[in-house]
Amino acid sequence: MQTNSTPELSPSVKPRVGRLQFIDFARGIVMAIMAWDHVSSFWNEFHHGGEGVLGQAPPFLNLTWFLERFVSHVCAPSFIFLAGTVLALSATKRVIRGESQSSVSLHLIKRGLLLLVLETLLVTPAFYWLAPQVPRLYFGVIACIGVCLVIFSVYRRVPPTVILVLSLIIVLNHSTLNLDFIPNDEAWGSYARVVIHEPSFAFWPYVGLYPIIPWLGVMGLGWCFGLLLAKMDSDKIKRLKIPLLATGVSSIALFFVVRLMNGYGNLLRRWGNTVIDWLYVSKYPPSLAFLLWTLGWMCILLALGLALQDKPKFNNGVTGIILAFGRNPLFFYIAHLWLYRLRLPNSPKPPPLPIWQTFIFWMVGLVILWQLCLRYEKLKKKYPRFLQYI
Amino acid sequence: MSTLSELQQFNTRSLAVVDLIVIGVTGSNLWIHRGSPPVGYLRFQDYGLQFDYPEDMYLQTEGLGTLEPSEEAGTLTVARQGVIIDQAGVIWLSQDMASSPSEALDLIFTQATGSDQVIERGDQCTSTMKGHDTVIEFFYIAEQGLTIPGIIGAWSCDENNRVVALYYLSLPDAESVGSQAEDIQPTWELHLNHVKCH
Repeated sequence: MQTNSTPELSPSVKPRVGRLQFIDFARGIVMAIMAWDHVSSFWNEFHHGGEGVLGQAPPFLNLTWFLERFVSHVCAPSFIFLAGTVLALSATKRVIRGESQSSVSLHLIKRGLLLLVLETLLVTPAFYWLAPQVPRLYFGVIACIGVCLVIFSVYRRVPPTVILVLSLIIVLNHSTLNLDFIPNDEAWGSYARVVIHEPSFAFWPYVGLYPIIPWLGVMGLGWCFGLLLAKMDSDKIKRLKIPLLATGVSSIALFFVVRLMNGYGNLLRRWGNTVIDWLYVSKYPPSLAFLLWTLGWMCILLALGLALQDKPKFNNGVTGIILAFGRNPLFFYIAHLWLYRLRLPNSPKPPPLPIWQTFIFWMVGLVILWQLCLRYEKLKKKYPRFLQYI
Repeated sequence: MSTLSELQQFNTRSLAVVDLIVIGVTGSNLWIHRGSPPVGYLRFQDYGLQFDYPEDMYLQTEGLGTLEPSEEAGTLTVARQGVIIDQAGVIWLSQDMASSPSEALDLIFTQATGSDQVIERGDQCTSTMKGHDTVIEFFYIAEQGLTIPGIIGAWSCDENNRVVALYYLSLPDAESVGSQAEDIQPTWELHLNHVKCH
């Protein structure tokens, strides 16, 4: 009898060797788009974010400035969903390799705690160094993934179908969660609400944008997808192309239905019929409409990766660069923030750039990041023990 | 009933159970919250009125030409910060003060015209909105060099002997300068869906 209950694999399933490149491909694309969002937030005067925080709807100067921000919505949900997927795949691989469950859990706890440290020491200062106070307790996407990893060190032992049920219930129902029993006028209470479910910048420096509960649901869905992949051989995975494409298109179609109905699933309602009205959805916290749109596009990117991965030149050229980003997500994340910030802590903010100069800066930065990722990979092979968590 | 071993894997049966549970929980949750204001909205409920407004809009009540609202007359204003103008409001008057929607509109415009602003009124039309004959009028407010488009609709609410009006003004950003009052009618109609007068 198999004692390693998570993840379950039938004896007939042969573990695959090597990476699933279509995941690296999809993740690489969203990392590059995320870099655009951040370079724009650092250097453009009219870049806005914070969609949904306390119901806010920041004004956009025009459709161009709305869309240049809107394209980046796909990043965080894909990042977190695929973190769950890769987590399931790596946990499976470790169990098959003979590692004990406690060792796998310990690895997740260490990695999760490391992410919290990185968020505090490297990520937060990159975003907020020029603010009156650096919010040492900023709860961003890296911190959220870190806490989710710690939770998954235990949660992963729950049967997959139960995780699927809980994840779907969270995604479909979290918007009605009422945390009024936690006092909001004290620092600890405010921060607890920020971390659990209510993103806010109201109680500086106890601020955050990525509350655990909704994103745990997204990571749980990714985990279930990862377990599904772990049971498949390469041929079966290739055949996922059409189902993934269909899921993506259906999800985007459902997004329009939810926006049309203008009720359930919309944390920010549609106030009119302009493009912005239709596409303006709550990211903080993620509404159902937001997740339908973003995870729908992620499915399409995964399908595209599956369609392209057998092409002879998939590992070269532009796709080769994208794959390098996708293989090193955490390194890319930290490196890109400081690269695009391009100034030392406490240095004065330079004048804003026009959008076309920002675009060139973004492209040049991606080339530099590509080279950095390749060098980092070599370093990681040389020192796997020290760099296994990044 | 699924056994634990069946729950360990995804198959048709386990996914059917997943669907049933998720639909059941979500359906129950929506049923429990059926009377609540929509997600992202707060509810004002007083003076025989109910008005759900977006969480990011700030609410203020006052009388019509006086500081304090009363059962007789009052104004409820919600406005969004961070934009030039994005404001909606519900005004109520007893039928002793205004016996018809048109009379109510005349009274409201008289009260609203201040020393530093000029209101240019448009033609009135009547339409049936939510079962009430509603007198609708577009208008423009000229204030501090800006022309702000607005729309107001008033109807008689015979169930509580009042005339109720809903207005909406919008100039959300610099690019909207010069926009027409007709452009903001869809948003006014969305607000109208959230007003109950009896």
